[in-house]
Amino acid sequence: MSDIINANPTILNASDLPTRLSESRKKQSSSAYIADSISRLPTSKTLLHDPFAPSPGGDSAYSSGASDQDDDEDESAAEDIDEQEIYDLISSISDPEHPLSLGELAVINLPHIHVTHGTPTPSNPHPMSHVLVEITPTINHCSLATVIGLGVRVRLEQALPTRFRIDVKIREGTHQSTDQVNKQLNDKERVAAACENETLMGVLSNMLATCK
Amino acid sequence: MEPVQEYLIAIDRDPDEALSIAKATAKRLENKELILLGLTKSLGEYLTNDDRTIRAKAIGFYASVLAALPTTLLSPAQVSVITQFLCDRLEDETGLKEVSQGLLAVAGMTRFQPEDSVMVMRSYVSNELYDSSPRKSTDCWVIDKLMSEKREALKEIGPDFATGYVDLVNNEKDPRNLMIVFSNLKAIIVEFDITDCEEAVFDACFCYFPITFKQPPNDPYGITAQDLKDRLKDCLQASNNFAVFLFPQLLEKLDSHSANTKKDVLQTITACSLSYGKNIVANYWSTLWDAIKYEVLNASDDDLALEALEAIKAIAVSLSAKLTTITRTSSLDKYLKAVTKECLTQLRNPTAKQAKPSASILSAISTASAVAHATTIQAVMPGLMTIYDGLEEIAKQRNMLQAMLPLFDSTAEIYGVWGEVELPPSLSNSLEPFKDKLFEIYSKALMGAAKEEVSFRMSGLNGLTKMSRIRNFFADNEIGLIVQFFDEIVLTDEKIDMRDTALDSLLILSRLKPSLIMEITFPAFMAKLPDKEEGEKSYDMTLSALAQLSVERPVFQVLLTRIFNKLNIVLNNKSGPAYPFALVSSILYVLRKKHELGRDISLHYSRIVPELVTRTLIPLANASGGNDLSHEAVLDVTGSIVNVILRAMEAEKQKEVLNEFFKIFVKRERSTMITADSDLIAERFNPLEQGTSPPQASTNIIFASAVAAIRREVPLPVDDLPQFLTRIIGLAQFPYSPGHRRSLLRLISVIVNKYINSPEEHEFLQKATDEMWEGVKTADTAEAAFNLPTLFWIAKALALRTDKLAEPIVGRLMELLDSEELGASVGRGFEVLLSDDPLLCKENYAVSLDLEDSAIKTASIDTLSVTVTEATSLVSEHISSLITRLLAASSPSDVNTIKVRTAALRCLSIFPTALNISVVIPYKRQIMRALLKPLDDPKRSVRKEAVDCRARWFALGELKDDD
Repeated sequence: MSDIINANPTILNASDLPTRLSESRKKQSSSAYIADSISRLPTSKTLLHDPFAPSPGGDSAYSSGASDQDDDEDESAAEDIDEQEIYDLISSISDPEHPLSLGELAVINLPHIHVTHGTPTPSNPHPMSHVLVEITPTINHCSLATVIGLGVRVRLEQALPTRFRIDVKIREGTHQSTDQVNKQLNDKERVAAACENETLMGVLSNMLATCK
Repeated sequence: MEPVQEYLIAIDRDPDEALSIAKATAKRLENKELILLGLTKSLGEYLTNDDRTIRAKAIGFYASVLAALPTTLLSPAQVSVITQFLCDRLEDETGLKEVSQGLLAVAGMTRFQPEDSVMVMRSYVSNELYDSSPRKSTDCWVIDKLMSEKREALKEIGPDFATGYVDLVNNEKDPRNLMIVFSNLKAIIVEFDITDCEEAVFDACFCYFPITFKQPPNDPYGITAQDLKDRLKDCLQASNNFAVFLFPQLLEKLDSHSANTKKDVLQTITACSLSYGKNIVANYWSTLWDAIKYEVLNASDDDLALEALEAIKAIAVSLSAKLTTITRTSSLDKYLKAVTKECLTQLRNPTAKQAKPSASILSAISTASAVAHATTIQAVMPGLMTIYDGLEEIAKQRNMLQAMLPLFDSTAEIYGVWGEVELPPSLSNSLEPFKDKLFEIYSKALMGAAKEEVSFRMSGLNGLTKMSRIRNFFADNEIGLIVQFFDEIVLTDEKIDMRDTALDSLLILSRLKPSLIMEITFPAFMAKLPDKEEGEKSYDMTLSALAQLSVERPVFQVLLTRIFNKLNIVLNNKSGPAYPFALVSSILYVLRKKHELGRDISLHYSRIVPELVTRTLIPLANASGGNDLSHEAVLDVTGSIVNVILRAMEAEKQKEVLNEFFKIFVKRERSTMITADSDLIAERFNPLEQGTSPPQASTNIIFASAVAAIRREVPLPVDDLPQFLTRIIGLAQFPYSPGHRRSLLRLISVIVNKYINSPEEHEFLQKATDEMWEGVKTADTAEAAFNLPTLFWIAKALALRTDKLAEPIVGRLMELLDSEELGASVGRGFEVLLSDDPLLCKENYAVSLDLEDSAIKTASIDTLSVTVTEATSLVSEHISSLITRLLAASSPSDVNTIKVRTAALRCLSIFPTALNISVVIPYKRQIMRALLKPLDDPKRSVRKEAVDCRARWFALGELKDDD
């Protein structure tokens, strides 16, 4: 990859990317952080934390006492895997030719991720679900679109439960050889063959190394 | 047998033996047992041998003998004869390397004459053999030796020498030799007469441009591309006569597609412009400017643009030489006219793409010299002001304000910032006439624009900040006004970015003009602090701002006074511990910040520690029953303050302070640290005695932090250490609160880690832990095993210093993992054992293994972290059962709450890096499969951990025999 294919892509600011965090937390500035660290009285729970005292709820051998922000998390309410979660999984993948994430380059966009869940029935409590990710290459002749698509696919296969069907496609009209790339990305055998290729896997593991 | 014969026999079999034969021969020559002539003659038959390797080896013998001779042994005549002899051998194609080794040896002789070096050089230079066969590094060394030791003689050879040398080194490719060649070439260019062969010498250098050498793996030469580039650059800039060849060729290479080449070209232009001098550069600035400007104005690469700006500046620096005032006819003036004209044209449309690079160019040339600054400012400022006045769109105005910002930085560079000692240039600041106008437009942008225009207001803010820095530019009352603007923004602006940047600006000004910050900002901010807790934490941002502004010493003194006053008021109003906590924390914040910046914070002891300790303890001893300072969270902060201050002290001072702490907490004596009623404390304060009150007991948090800060060489002021330790262990068995227990356990751990050293103390500890173990082992409930935590903390203290006593203790505790009654507590104990503790750390002089670089530490995972190698090896033995337990804990159930599942997954994800790969890899498959389940956990945060955990195990790689 000696010659950079798109030397001047449009870049989104990291703080403008979609996130689940509330506005106030996302924009926390250094000063606000210091303010927080100065004035945040530890919760009584942390203060009373005693690694040796048996705590309600049975075996708390693994409670660390440090992460008290999720104290209020509701134990019972289930949270489905949604578009934002998929976005969080793949937007931090690095672009193979820029030191930027796919989110920052707007290759991955939240509105272009679609998750559909089957309806659970008593006989089948975990029905198949489907996720479709549409990729927008930075330029329409980007020869790395396949590699990027493959990276997204590998990441999702590693990170999603087995009941998910995964489709990765180039977004309609954003690439000159959309069909060809799509075919490669969704052909199981081709993907498996690609994963045998060591050079390619080297590139992929670099791309995935930045996943948060 | 002749020595040469012995040598020839030995050389292939055993080079060391051959060498000792040569050395012995040298010794014989030295002792006059052998004469030189005889030796030379004995070579005769071998030198005419048909076998070329024999000829080479014979010379090799000769060279080894010469190298082993004392340098003073031979007479001038002998040296000459040998030199001649060796030079003649240069005509024999074989053995060139050995001949050069001989020459190297003979050139090192004391009596080696200038004529001899000329002879050697001529032989090399005229040697036609070199046209065909590759030369050896040794030739380079011979020539280099002659160049450094007999240079004057070589100069007498005349112009032939330079041309000969150039021919000789032609096609050299070995980077090691090139390093030598470049330095010789530089000497030739500077010192030898090369008038007739300038171009040839130049070509000999320039043919290597650009250096494309890449360091091979493992770096066998220890030479970097940069080393070569630097030496080559030294050659190119060594003579300004090269300009005529160099500049045209460089500009041609500037069209290259390779960013590296472009970078080299620009760096060479910069270096040569600076070294060739004004008169030369005067002939080239025009062509250089025309080519280089393109690299800035249409830059695709920021690094290259910066290099190009450096070159543009270097030309101006060179042309500025010897100018002290603006001179209209000077080439500097002409150059700057051309540059400013072009940039000003571009800036007419401030939103165009070229506007910003043009501003950078203006900034670059105006930092070249005071004269260049004056010329540039006078040429562009009136124009820029006119353009600004004509702009109507806010976007254009904003870009124009931004475009001028670099000029303020340049002005600060030329005229200095407040407080600098260097003398400013004699030339008056040309920005001065525009001061009022600039103040007006930037203030208006900051304070007059609509709140939503953040980037426009931001330019105003930045401009005012940059201009306030310039020495003797704005008057104090003007900067005072600016400080008021910034205060207002920090306190009231609704945009976070604006508040943050304004605070940063105040920080800059607090260093340059601390008095203005103390007089204007402090009262304004302090007035915003309420007198009691008012719900919405109205004080946190203000305290944060004050703390950040108070790093400078005079400001910090003011802050302390104000915070202590405020603390009095707030405590009297009794509105809960949160506000006092924040006030005390802000002091801790400043102390830590100062410490990070390398300031000595120990000198704040007398102002802070007695004050805080007294205020905390007195209410616990008198009838009032304590105040919010004795809340455990506040005690923790106070303890941290005491700790950071104490550990910065010298041993002597620590000893003194530690004594006072023991008087208060242990000995019940009057202490000078108590500033109010030290009798009361001696009488009524007994936190380390059985039956003390719970609030008094909690203050052990402060005591433990103080003791933890002490250097190991400072002894604890107790007569009987085991007895003292026994007392603390006793207290830890039945604590009043978790915080109280934690502080006691830490205290035990610190004492064991630092002070249990003598064999008697060791024996005591062994006995004590044996007894504790007996009690724990037979306990049938967690409560009954009251010494279990203490055992863990003692084990931790010992394991940290790899004390062998740790092993049996940890081993016994491992046995309990499967105990039904105690298993859970033991599991928690291992968490303690493996995690970092804020008090048991190197900064606190704890004895610990240095694992600073360990990957785990940076991973900063809270549940398990490996400071204890000892303990990880123990974990390895139990890995199978641990993994099963952790996997079981990772799936949802009534007892496996979100926290448990999260922690289990986190813990599992540490294994791949914390433990030896051979230990963990057999479990990879099992874990990868088992983790599929948590990937579908109902909770998002758990799924996240599962994904990360799987990725870490996946990254382990495959087993070799994997199918």
